[in-house]
Amino acid sequence: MIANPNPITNPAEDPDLPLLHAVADGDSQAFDSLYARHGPYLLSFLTMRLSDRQKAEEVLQDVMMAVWRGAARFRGESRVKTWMLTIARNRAVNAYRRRRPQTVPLEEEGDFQGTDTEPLERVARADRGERVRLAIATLPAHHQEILNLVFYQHLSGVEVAQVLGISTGTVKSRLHRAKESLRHTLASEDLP
Amino acid sequence: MTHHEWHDQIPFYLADTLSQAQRQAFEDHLLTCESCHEALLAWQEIGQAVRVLGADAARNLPPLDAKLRAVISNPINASHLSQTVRVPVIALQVKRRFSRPVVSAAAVVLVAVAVIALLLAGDDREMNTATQPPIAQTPLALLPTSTATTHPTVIQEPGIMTQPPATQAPASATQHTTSSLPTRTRAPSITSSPAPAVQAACIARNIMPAAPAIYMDPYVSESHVGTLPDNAPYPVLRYDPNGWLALAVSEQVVWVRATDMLLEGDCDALINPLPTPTDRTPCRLIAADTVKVYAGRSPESDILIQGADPATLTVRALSEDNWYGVEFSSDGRTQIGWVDRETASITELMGDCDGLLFIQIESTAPLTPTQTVVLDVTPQDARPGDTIQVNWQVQQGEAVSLTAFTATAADAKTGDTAEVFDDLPLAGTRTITAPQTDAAYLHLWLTVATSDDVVPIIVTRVVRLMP
Repeated sequence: MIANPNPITNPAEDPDLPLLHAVADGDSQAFDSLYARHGPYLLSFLTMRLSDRQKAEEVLQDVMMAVWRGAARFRGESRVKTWMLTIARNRAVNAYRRRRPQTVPLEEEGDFQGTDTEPLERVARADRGERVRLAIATLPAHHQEILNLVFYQHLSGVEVAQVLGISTGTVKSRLHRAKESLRHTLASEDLP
Repeated sequence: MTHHEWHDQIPFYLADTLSQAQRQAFEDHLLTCESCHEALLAWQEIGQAVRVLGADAARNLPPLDAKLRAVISNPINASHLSQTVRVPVIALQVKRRFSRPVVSAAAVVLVAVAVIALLLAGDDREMNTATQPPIAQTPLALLPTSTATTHPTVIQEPGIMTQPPATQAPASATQHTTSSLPTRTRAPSITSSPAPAVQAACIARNIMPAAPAIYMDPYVSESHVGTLPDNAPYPVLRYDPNGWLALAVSEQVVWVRATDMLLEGDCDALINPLPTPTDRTPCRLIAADTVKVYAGRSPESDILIQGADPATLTVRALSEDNWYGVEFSSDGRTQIGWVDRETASITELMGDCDGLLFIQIESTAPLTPTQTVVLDVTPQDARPGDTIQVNWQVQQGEAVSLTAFTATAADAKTGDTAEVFDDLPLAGTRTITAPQTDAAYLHLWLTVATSDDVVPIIVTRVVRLMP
């Protein structure tokens, strides 16, 4: 078991709450502090959700703009971190929906198949730890995001449900499916 | 607890997000459950990999960008002062990028008077400059109209910001403009600090690292004449919602792309779409195979045309829910239809597609829990085995679910999940049996997902559990 670096607290005792209140009052230094504290976590989540570092950095700016503008409307129904992750998740979904269609010039069509299967080939060649990481990178976005929320963001089941806008029951079933997908990809490794 | 329920707890056990009681119970169970032990090892491997991936992705946090810096460095943009403007039904993509600070009541009156005067004046080209307030009438009188798009000219009117003679202007307009505009006989030096009242009107300033290009004519790249001289605030004279702003710069009216600029003040009053220039290459859609054009933004809609002649499909709009609004000719008539961006095999968009009308889907107004969600729980104190009745009523929303969990604190946000009811109707009743537990409270959360893009509505009630 890995110690949770952000143990669940009563939202009223959330150390970020004074910061957010200061942000709501227009304190740009508090905003910088909030960004320094949570920016890396948001970037991590967005990168795994979007599988696109550049797009993740763009959306991160959008998220912080929303935090700046929405700080005064924070209702205190969750921790500040959970609230920020909820905004990030919704912005990521919007960014994904608005992506431009991917087009491939006809002359490159032959290479397309090879590129598409490359991640799976890399999975087969890598060592165990690397194989698991590569296999996770091949998971659908909704599986990658829930794994990030549980194991990297250390959110509880209820908080994960809140960020994703789903029930706690769906959180559990989605985690189960993510694990099954990984097991399928890593079938030769006997992952239970 | 069932076998599956123990397994469900493993990821949260490894992430250290279970309560103390849950953790202890799981560890006790783990001693006797080989299946859980195997699953624990598998999840351990996954968790370790996710932490490595997550940490890699978190490295090299970029600084806040210039646009955001510009917003937070302006005290008027603080969130407690900001207005939330929800653009109804059809909004334009460029509008979503701008800040919308509060404007003073005086500025609102000023612009409102100007706009009313304009409406009364009718056609731009027929306006009598002597009878209009200068801030709005002058630019509209000077800017290109539908007949001026192919022959751009340098507009250098000597009277661009000149005050009209007081005796010819309506009294109310004169009072406002006299007190709020620089009293110059020529266009003002834009680099000078504007008076406070002028600042509340619509201004634009560069927020890009490089100086934005300026044009003598919107939509016409060939009319490029240089770059904006500095990052000073420039009065906006006209705001074409397809992405162009007319600015007063050094006694001239020039055009810049709206995406390069941060707008402040009441700019909505200046929205005035330009006629679509005829010399632009329209955005066209090329598809790999048969394209279906629907009458509405739904596959359930009637199919207007279905064929392999996509070159005739001119794209006019993009909707938030991923449909292209297309124009096509049928039976000698021009019609509008919709192509599903996700399912159509679109291989290419040609022409000028950056300025497509962006159609924002009107979202359901955010729910106000106290007004639109009713959650009654009785009794408020219960002993183990007592029946707790939960009634709810939601006026609007979707994905209603009820979660009951026990916790040691009345204001806890997490605890031991007791029961979850998903896919509930908008109104209904459930009974829950008060559990035998060491926890002091039973929390009941009614979650209602909405199209509000911030957080779902969660209404909570707490029942005190008596020993």
